[in-house]
Amino acid sequence: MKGTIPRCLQDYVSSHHGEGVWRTVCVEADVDPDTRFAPQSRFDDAMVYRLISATTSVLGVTLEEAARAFGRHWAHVYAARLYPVAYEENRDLVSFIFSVNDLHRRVIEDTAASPPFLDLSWESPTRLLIGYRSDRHLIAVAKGLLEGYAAHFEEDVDVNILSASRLELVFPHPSPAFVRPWNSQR
Amino acid sequence: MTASQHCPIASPREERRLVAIHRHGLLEAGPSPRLNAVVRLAANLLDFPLCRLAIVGSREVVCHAAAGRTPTDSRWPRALTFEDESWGDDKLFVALPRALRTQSVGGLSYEAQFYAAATVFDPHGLPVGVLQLVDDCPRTLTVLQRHALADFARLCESELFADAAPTGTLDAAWLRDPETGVVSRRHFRSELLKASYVTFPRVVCVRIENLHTLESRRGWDAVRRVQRKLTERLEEMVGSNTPIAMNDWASYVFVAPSSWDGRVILQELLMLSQRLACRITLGQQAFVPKIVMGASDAMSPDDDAGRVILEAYRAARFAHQNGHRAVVRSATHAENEQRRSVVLERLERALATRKLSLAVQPKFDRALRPMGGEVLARWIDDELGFVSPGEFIPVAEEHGLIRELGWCIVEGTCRLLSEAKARGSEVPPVAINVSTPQLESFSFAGDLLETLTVYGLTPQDVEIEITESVFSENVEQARRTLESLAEAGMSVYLDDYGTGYSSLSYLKSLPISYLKIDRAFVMELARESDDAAIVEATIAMAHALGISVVAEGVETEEQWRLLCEMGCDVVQGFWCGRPMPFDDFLQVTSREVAACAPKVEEP
Repeated sequence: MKGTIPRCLQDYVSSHHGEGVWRTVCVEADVDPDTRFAPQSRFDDAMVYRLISATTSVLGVTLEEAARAFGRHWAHVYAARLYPVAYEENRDLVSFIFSVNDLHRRVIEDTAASPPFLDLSWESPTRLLIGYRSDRHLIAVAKGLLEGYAAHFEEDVDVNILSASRLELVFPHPSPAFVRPWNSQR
Repeated sequence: MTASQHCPIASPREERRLVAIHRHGLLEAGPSPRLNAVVRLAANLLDFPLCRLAIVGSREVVCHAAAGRTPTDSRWPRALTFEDESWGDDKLFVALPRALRTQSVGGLSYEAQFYAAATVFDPHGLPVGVLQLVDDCPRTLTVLQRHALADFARLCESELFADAAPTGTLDAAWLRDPETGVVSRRHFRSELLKASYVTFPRVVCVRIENLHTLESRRGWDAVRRVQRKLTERLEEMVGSNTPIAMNDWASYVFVAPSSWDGRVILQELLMLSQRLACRITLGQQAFVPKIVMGASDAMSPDDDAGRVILEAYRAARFAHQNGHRAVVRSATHAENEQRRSVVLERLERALATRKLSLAVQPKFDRALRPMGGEVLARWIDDELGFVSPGEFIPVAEEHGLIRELGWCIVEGTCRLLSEAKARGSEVPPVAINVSTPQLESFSFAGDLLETLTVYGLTPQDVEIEITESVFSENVEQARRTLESLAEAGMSVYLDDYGTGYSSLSYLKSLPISYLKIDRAFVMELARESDDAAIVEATIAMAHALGISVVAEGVETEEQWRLLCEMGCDVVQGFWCGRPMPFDDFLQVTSREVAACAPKVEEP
């Protein structure tokens, strides 16, 4: 796994709970606390999963809560700081979400990463359905990411998990980006 | 039934389109076994579970041929027009229409996750339908696969409108490319085999190296026009009796005329490449094809035709990689190919285990005071021994490993700097070479700055060196990357200045701090007045733009003196400092002046 994931986790734990707590997480996960998680370095998947597991036990939160918090931190803080250009290309939340698959395609071209794929469809002008395809099955991370993106674009939306591979975005007002489904009757 | 009855809201273009469909009876025609064969072939070759040819009427979409789908689903309702879907404009598009979300293949239902389609046109250029590829897992299409899909769509057109285009039947399309008229590869192989019983023919491969760039900038139509023009030129020069085929969309193969024997073939190839490379007008603009050529060894009837074609192709690639216009294959080239494949295999392992080492070549100011260094990758393999960067960097570039190699160097440099600082050493900034693909990545600047933070370094600790090739590719993304890094306080060097694509406007607008004059101009500085004039003018221009100048390849005291007189700011070269291990570099930079300096007073 690329170092950008444990680096973001470290960033989240250190900024919210202090550097000492991160070192405790590392010790709990049997990882050298001085390990340098450079974004493009390669790390063993098992080591990263141990860090995630240790984070939940040290912070006393469930895996879902930790995953959601990680997603929010990634979207609103970490990626916004490292990759501002990805956000600047879009004016609002919906246009950003519709650009995510293209963004991930560029990530695949650049690195050996395997980001998720989103299948987007408007159910109604206030409801966007999101099919989430990922080998890692981290739907809670996806929810946190969407909440983080909404926070970044300062938009008020509800993000609900519908199943292990589906989410919905519910807007308080009809979205101007709504497009009638291709096969609906006029 | 008129077109307006088909669709009451249709635009004039949509009306013409519907009339065309009606005229050819496309909605009424039943499934065609020949079209089915094309579609099945497309599905198999491109490895898709579902492929179908759909004719888009006003109210419904009719499936004309399909591979993989359940046969009961041959018509489905349609609500929008071509204009709404932009199908008329995009000859090939990759998107996932919501109507295609649920698919049925072999009686099983699944969610479509990838969709690509090429528009099928009638002989007047009106869109009548699409050749669709659908998959149930996320994926992408390579450029070549996209072109293959577009070619299959052309084949479908040939079948659908066989009456309108008598030469466009499926059989003819298999023998000849419908666009350029050259013979198919399959046909070429059989012709080559026949020729091998009469003479010992050589196969010549012609590669157009900049056709991919043209495709990305001007689209497929421009490529087709260039292909047609080059076919004309080739036929004119080698004779229409010689079989010529497209090897892929950016290369041709043909059988060398028997008069081109071993003594004259290279001369003939050079002459041919020169004439093929003449300017081609494309509307208001012109395109100058960059041609390289390769010829195989003479073929005997026992040889495999495919292998001989590949040999010619590899010879052309060898020519490109080594800066030649044409190469005739020999045993040496076969050995080189073998060596490259071994280097590739070992390099992949070395990168995965981060087994490259780093050397640093110091840079000095005019008074020969050390002021930094340039990091250079060194690789000593367990089996191959020392492999020169001139050998492994082109392999990395060719096989998509250049980004990984770049990050390997970045991390290695940061580790060395961080360890030196932890020991309390004073470390001047060191420059890392950054490849164009890295610069074009939207995440490069963020990841680089974060890597520095992770290692406890600042953007002032590291500098980057870019080459002029960045100006020929995705300049805008490269500009954003450079601006982000410069804003953070990182210095940017423009390397190898004078040998590539530099534009004065880029020099003015990009945040470049240093310009490195290529060693080619420095080598003959004392003897060539032209080189001296170029270097002096470059220094004056750079200073006028607020850019400092580094001279590379300084190998004599005389060169250093001349450069100082011309106002050059920084020197780098074997005379003042060879590439050395990082610890030795720290010792050199801890001195006040370079070891070569003491006996010489500053001019």
